[in-house]
Amino acid sequence: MSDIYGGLLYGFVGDLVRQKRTQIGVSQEELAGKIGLARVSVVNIERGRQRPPLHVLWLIAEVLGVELRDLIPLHLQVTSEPLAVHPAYREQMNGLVEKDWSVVASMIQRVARKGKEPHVNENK
Amino acid sequence: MSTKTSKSEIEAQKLLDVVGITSPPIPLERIAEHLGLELVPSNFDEDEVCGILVVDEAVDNAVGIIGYNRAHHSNRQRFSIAHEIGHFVLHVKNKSVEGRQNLFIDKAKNFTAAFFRDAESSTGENAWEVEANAFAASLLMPQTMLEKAIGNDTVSVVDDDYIQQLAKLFSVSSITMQYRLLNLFR
Repeated sequence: MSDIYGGLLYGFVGDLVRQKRTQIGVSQEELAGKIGLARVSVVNIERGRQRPPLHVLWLIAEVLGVELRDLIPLHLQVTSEPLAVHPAYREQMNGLVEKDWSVVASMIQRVARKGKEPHVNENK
Repeated sequence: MSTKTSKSEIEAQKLLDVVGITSPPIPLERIAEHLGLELVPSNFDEDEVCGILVVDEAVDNAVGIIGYNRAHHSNRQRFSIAHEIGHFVLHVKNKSVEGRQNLFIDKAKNFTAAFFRDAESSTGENAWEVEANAFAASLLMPQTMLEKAIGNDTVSVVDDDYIQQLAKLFSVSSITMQYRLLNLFR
């Protein structure tokens, strides 16, 4: 799987964590404290910039009173999302003028496609 | 802080050694090819984006693209490309870096903001920009090659003609060369 999609996956996971957390009114600080992480880690997980191991995600689910599967997006959801507007990239792309935005978007897609060509990864 | 021993300086020289580049101007295309990065001239707005780096590192070999502003002067393009190579070497390939990312977008205003600041006085993402700039300077104007080019000349950073000559030799702008000389030999 292309790591661009990996980036997307964790972006979705972050979105889901933030959604569930704000739904039950728990602060990032509280969540962090309960699972023994620094607040900045929770911030980064929610932004999709840090990739939590399964057991950490499982602990987060427990604190938020949901099942682990509730924090994991459907496969189709990740692979069908237009890459460029995903949260993992949105933050950085927000300040771009329209012209530049579309150039950057097309390059992200180009790299994602390249990543899926098997021969690119096989020759060392 | 001595520029000689900075991480950026060391990493840039390592890269030059591996690719086997011993004289200026530095062929950035060869370096990019060695790293598996494609260089793409891009239609960015002239006053906005200088360069971007997009990386997919799903497997052992990273796949990536560096886009640079087609409207800019070639010297400036070279600096932008070298800056993005810096992000790739220092902030993507370096597995010990926390919060690694797949997308770097560098705009003109960020460049100037980070350029004249010391690496130690900056933190977080801004420190990355300072590091990438230091790397770019070290890659385009390696200390050893610069020393060789200067030889026994007395370097004056206010001698515009001399600096222009050096800048031409390394295919960089005069201001970039001047700043590099100040950094290395003050």
